[in-house]
Amino acid sequence: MSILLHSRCLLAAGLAALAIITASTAQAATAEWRPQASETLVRLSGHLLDKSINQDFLGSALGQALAETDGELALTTQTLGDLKAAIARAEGDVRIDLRHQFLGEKREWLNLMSRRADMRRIRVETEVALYEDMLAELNRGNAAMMPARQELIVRQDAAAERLESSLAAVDNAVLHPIAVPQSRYQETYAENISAIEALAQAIEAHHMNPSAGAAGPLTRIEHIRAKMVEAEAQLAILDQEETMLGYMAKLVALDALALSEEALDAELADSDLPGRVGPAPMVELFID
Amino acid sequence: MRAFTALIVAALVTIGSAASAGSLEILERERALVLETLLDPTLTPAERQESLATVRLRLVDLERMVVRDESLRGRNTPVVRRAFADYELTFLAHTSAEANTTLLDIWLARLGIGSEALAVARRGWR
Repeated sequence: MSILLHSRCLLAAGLAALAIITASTAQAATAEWRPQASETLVRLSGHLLDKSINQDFLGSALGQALAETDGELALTTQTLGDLKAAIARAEGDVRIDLRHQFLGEKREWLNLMSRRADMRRIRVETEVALYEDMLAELNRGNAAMMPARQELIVRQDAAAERLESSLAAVDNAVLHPIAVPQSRYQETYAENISAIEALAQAIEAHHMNPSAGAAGPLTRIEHIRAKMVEAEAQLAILDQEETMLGYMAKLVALDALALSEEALDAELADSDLPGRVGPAPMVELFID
Repeated sequence: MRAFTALIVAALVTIGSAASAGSLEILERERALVLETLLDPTLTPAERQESLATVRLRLVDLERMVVRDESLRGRNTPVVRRAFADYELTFLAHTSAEANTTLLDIWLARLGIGSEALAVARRGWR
């Protein structure tokens, strides 16, 4: 009788494994991450942007829940390994009991994996939404670059070029005839300009500046687009992983059915009840 | 540590916009004073030359400051647009030095009045 109950429990465990995905979705939905495409975030270059987003995620409820699930998953994975090794060594009822535990742990592992996949999906989808907001923000900035503004910048560049090319001529014409020394502004400017160039070279060569000279709005947009493609790839992989988890859950259910059948067979084999009741074996008792 | 990082990021974000915003307004004020000096009928030629010598140097500095002022770059306001629409008029000191002529000549030329035309002009009722 106890074996029968045991096998029923196993069957229930297998069936429960099939219902994992819907249950874990509800659990994952409770943890949230709501990053904002703030102006500061939009201004960050690729390297700092990734770190900032990752930092924000780790501090969120969703990030903490994911880290907690990862910890539980590591423990369950270890338990599964231990149980598998113990089953290989055990015999009889102990072995059946261990196999029962093994199935239960598998179910728990699937539950955790499914919850983890849901949380990762929420993270990736939130990231995609964040990148879309950031792109919209950057595109708004570019839209402000109207033809009139572009024309102004062209004129300003032309003015700067013309003025810088005429510096020596102007100094000769203005300063030399009246033998006046350069103004304090011009002296200091000339000194500072070489210092600024040295600093700019140092920034260019700095190891924390992998995209030196490429931190303009266009490269920021390109970086965000690349991150969106990366996120889409992660979603596709998550789809595959969820399919694998579905198959694993089905296998757990089938294993549970097989185990319950084995338990029933063992019970019937040990039973005192006759396997087949007919008159023929009794004939000898009636012949004297 | 987090506060320190935020400080660095904030510094990186704000450093670029630390330039003076009023360079163009100061240049325009100085240029107006130069023109006033040029056209002041109470000054003798010597007084005018003396006064212009100092003001012209200041104008040269201011013109360079305006051209190098990053805060003006792409600032699509009527004042900035007008300033860069006419290089010769805005950067009067540089243009006059380039052309090896006087500030007044450049200014009048931009208004369509040459000094030769003025020389042959006669005073009278119209």
